[in-house]
Amino acid sequence: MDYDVIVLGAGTAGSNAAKTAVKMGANTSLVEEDGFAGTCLARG
Amino acid sequence: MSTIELFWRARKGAALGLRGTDNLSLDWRAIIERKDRIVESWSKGKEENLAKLGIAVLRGKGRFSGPNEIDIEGKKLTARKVIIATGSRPARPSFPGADHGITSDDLIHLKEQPARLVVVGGGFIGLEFGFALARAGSKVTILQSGPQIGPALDDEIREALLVTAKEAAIDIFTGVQVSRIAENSTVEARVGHKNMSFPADEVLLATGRPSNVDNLNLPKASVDVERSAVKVNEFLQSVSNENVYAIGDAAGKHQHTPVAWYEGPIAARNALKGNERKVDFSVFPSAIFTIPAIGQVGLTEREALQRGLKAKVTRLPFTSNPAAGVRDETEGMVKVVYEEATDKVLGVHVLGAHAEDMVQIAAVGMLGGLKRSQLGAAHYVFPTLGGAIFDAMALG
Repeated sequence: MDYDVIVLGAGTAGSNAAKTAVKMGANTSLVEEDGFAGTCLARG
Repeated sequence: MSTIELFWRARKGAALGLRGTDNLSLDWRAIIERKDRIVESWSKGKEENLAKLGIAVLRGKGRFSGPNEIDIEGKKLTARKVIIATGSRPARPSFPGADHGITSDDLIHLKEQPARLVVVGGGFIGLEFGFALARAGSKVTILQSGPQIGPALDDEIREALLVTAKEAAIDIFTGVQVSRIAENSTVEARVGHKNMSFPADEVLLATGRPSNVDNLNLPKASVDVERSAVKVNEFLQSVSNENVYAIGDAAGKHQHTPVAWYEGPIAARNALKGNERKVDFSVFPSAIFTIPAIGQVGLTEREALQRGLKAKVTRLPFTSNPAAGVRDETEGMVKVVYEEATDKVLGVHVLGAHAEDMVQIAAVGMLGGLKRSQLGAAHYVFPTLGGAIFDAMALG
């Protein structure tokens, strides 16, 4: 396996999940195709 | 929206003795530009900060190419666990001419304020943008397909909102079937037995936000979808693939930013350590940012009755709240739903200025298990809008 966790989407949910995973010592990847602010924050 | 609310309040200032408010104007472009700067400051540096923590940040479209495999534009990566957090996007309705409409994503980037806005959809997003544009001076018409706007609202709060909408000169039609949007942005629709047309400068399509999970090739990983979102259990785990979790709008149940924030660490922990933590939304305050706003926590009166609970209610109009009177913000009401036998607070619903903050007082009380009578007897700061929550608890 390349990673312990792959998180798809770096919005509010995904970023926070990835942060927790990496703090727990997991080999973590975060994949984002667009922006880094999240749905509500960036798009109202 | 907060700027538009300030504008609206300031314009009402003449009655309070402020002069010059008739000449007040709203610079739409400046508001949009400020919003863009704020959003940029939130997202700026975020990618670098995530990378600094040791997260491998990858750019590109990711989709499943196997139960534990993600294809990022041709590059295949495997993982023990995958967490889906791809958010949601506005729905595109299927009627002809839908391309002539704009989504909420587009609206908050418009360079000019539309003089006439027709909103297709009377749910929370339609109501929020409808009120914002109306308070900013646009002529707003809301077209709702169902029998009522804001279907999830408490019935009496909805009635109060309709009064407020009327005062804001928002036209609301229910039972509307849109047949098409013409090239000149006129919406043609069937309303009851009549054909009607609604001319507009912009048409906002606000018919829901399906999750962004349809392009993830989910069948490849046996991840089941329900109502356009990943079907998960209370551990946020896919019900059909134990190595996949979904959070935020992608899991679809509660489309709110704090939910996304809350669910991220729970899913990460459950994915890595086994299912330890369940999500708990038993006390979940939320707001709809109409102007004034709606705040709600717990059950509506109708929901309580549907669950077979013997519920009673108290109501306090803001005309009875001294702080609201002083501030000339007497629109709306507080409604408390409680169980008669136990005096347990089942739900609190607020329409009025700062409802989004006020409802949190009730939420803390509910979380702490305080009875209605205990909240009704509590000391509070006077005069405050929040005092209306305590006073409403003391009624009945």
